[in-house]
This record gives sequence, C-alpha cells and structure tokens, in this order.
Amino acid sequence: MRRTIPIIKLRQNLIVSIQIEMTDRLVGELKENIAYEVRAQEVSGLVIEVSAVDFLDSYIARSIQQIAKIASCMGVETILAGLDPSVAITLVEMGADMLGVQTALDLEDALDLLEERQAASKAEEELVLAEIYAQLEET
Amino acid sequence: MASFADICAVLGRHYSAASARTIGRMAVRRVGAHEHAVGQLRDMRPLLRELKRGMDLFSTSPSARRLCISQLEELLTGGGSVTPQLPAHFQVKIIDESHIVEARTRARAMAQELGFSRTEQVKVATIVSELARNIYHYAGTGVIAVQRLEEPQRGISIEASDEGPGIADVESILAGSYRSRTGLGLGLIGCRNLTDELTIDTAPGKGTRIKARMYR
Repeated sequence: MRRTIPIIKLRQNLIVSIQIEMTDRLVGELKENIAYEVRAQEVSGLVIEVSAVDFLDSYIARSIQQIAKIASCMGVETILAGLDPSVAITLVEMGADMLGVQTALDLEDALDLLEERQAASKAEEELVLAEIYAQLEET
Repeated sequence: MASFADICAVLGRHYSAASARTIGRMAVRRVGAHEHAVGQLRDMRPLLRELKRGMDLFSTSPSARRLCISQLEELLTGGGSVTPQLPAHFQVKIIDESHIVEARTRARAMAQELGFSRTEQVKVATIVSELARNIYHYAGTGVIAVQRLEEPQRGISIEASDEGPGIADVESILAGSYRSRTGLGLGLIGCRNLTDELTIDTAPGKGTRIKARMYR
C-alpha cells in the first residue's frame, strides 16, 4: 500500500499530523499536496503536528521550512506543533533550527493561536470597513 | 537473580577478596541500593557502571579487567533478559532512498542497545541520515558502515564512503562560508556539531570517506 500523509480541514485551518517515517518522496509529496489543499480549501491557517516524529534531519527540517514559506506566499500562516524534546535538542545543536517557522507546544495551543490571530484580523477588517462606510456617509 | 555474594565472587576471580568486597560495596552504595537487595534492582546498568569505576581503582591487567567486566555483565544482565544482541557491526549499501531509512533505523537500534540516552539516539540517527543522504544526493551510491565500540570507551562509529565526485573545498564548507542549494554544507556542519569526532577524507575525483564517532 502506498502511504501518504493525510491533510485534514478543521474550520479555517488545515491540520497535517505526521505519524509515519518520513522519506524524501513523502516530504516532496506533502509539499505539493499542502500547496494545492491550501488553495482548494480556502483556509487561513496550517498546523504541522510532529509529536510522533522521532527524528528530523537537516533535509526534512528544511522541507518543513519550505512548506511554511509556500503557505505564507498564499497568505496562510503555518505553525509547527509538538516538536519532540530530543528532536528539538538535536536540531538546535546541529545548527538547523526551525528559524522562521512559528511553533507551539501542541496542537491545541497551535489552534488557539491561529484562532486568536484570525479573530484579531477579522476585528481589524471590520474596523476598516466601518471607517470606509463612515467616510461614504459623510460625502 | 544475582546477589551481592555473586558479584564479589566474580570480582574475586580477578582481584583479591578484600579488593573485591570493597569494589562491590562502593558500587552498591553509590547506586543507592543495599547489599542484601541487589537482585531487586530493576536496571543493572548503573551498578555495572559503578563496578567498572571501582575496578579502575585497583590494578589488574587490561585483559583481566575486560574478562571481569564481561563476566559481570553476564551475571547482572544475562539470564532473565531475552533480548537478542544485535551484531557488533553492519553495512548498508546506499542505492535508493529506502536505504537511508534502513541505515538510520539500524544505527539507532544499536545506539539504544549500547545504552545511549534518547536524545543521543536521535543524534546518531540524524548523523547517519545526513551522511547517507549526502551519498545518495551527490555520489549516487556508497556504503554506510556502523560499528559498536567497546574499548577504550563505549560508543558507536559511523563510516560513510563513496566513489563519487568528492568535495572540492571541505574547509570552506565546514566554516559555513559556502552553502549549497541542496544543503550539503548544512548537513556536514550539523554532523560535526553532533559528533565527538569527525574526519573527512576527500578530494575532487577521489570519492569521499567520512568517519564519525560518538561516545556514551
């Protein structure tokens, strides 16, 4: 059986939970699938959940950074959640840290963070709209 | 179950009776156990470590010391446990991607068997993965050889060799001044930062041999 990594939509967000051994082929596929799902599902956030990942080398780490960048190009914010302590130590010691990718302790924290951001941007949007309406009424 | 008397008996084959008792007592005390309850220790490895430390205080020949350690290991960890020992070394030919996974999985199992901590196991797997990946990406094919080290220190030796194009300027890669598009530099720097010893033997057209060692 061909193994793939499922991408799940939850409200405004996509959730990708990596539970299997990562091969280069899988990483490459994931990159492409996420990019297309982001567009198809019209989401505003992406969570990559890695608590079951017990190993990350520089190539896979870089691929995750690239996924975050690709999503960011499409206006979607990425949060990496649940990095294993041993993996985090190894990454930092080898100098391949997750710079540039937002992180959260676990999936719950990541979703809370995204929801907060989304609420804030919605409030901001409404404020701007109200201003525009007010200006329109004046003229 | 091994008793305190059993431990002293094994030590007594290689040291005087008085030295044997002293080594045994010190070790048992240092792991916070009691002489009459040695058999109830769940993890024998700390006791074994303390016994070795104690042995170093009393002189004997290196071969006697080695024999004594193996007999103690047999006494303390043998019998009950059924975990088969992994071979002391193995090789994985890197031809396609699945071999990268195979090499790092087997190296990690060896690190675990050697008693490496969880973080150290992750480091071993990461080093093997970086080296295997470099072979796969730059040389096409090559070999990863992993070996268990016992003397003078417990550890693991990882050797990656290939007949690929070689690396022109290792110095500047390791200094971080050169960065490839594919991340070769990052992988090598990462390996160097994670290992206790790393030697690189390479030249353009001569292939590459990288030896990495990690000790417990």
